[in-house]
Amino acid sequence: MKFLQSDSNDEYVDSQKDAFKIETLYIVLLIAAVDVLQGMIRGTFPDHVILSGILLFIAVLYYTLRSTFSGIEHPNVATKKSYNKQRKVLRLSMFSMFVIYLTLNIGHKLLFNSNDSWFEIFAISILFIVLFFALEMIGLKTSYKKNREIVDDSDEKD
Amino acid sequence: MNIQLKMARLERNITQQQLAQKVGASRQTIGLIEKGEFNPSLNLCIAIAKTLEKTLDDLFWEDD
Repeated sequence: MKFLQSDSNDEYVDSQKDAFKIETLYIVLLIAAVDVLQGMIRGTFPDHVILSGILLFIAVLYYTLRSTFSGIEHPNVATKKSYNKQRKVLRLSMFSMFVIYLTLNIGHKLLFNSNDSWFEIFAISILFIVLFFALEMIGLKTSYKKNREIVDDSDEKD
Repeated sequence: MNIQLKMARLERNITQQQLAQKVGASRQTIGLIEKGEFNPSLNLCIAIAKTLEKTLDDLFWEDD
């Protein structure tokens, strides 16, 4: 988003302005997070809490998608060997994450007698992990593709 | 394209990955600098120059 970058023809001033913009964004997101948190604690969700939630959701979604599709998630994966190795690591970490997420959901149901059915708990856990895995795989593939384009011919290519 | 950097690296017979590890960057970053698609910070330029035992002029100065 070039239009958001400062352009005062002075490198130092521009870098400071850009840093201040990021700080401002963090403050806004922090206020939104506090708003959502107090809504959750009180158990009431007036319009401003929902708006804060939407703001947080959009911010996280945008950042995740930008990072994933720009190919910067795995900057060292440039060979077929490292790509396959990273894929295995991802599969393993996704499985561990699924187990942890499922355990937390089951724990929540048992401890707080939540009304969610067992089917819902399993379905949400599977959906969560499938989406997460898909994003991670896209990130890995995009990074690999980008790195293949810039990798030096004299380096090992397999 | 930063030919000087690539030549200096090849002179010392080290790969992009090895250079990246030595200067605390990623292989992608070194590749992008060599392709002229990323302007590194002065600190990173100095780290690269020291690792390759070259001056900043040797690596980054562009003759007209």
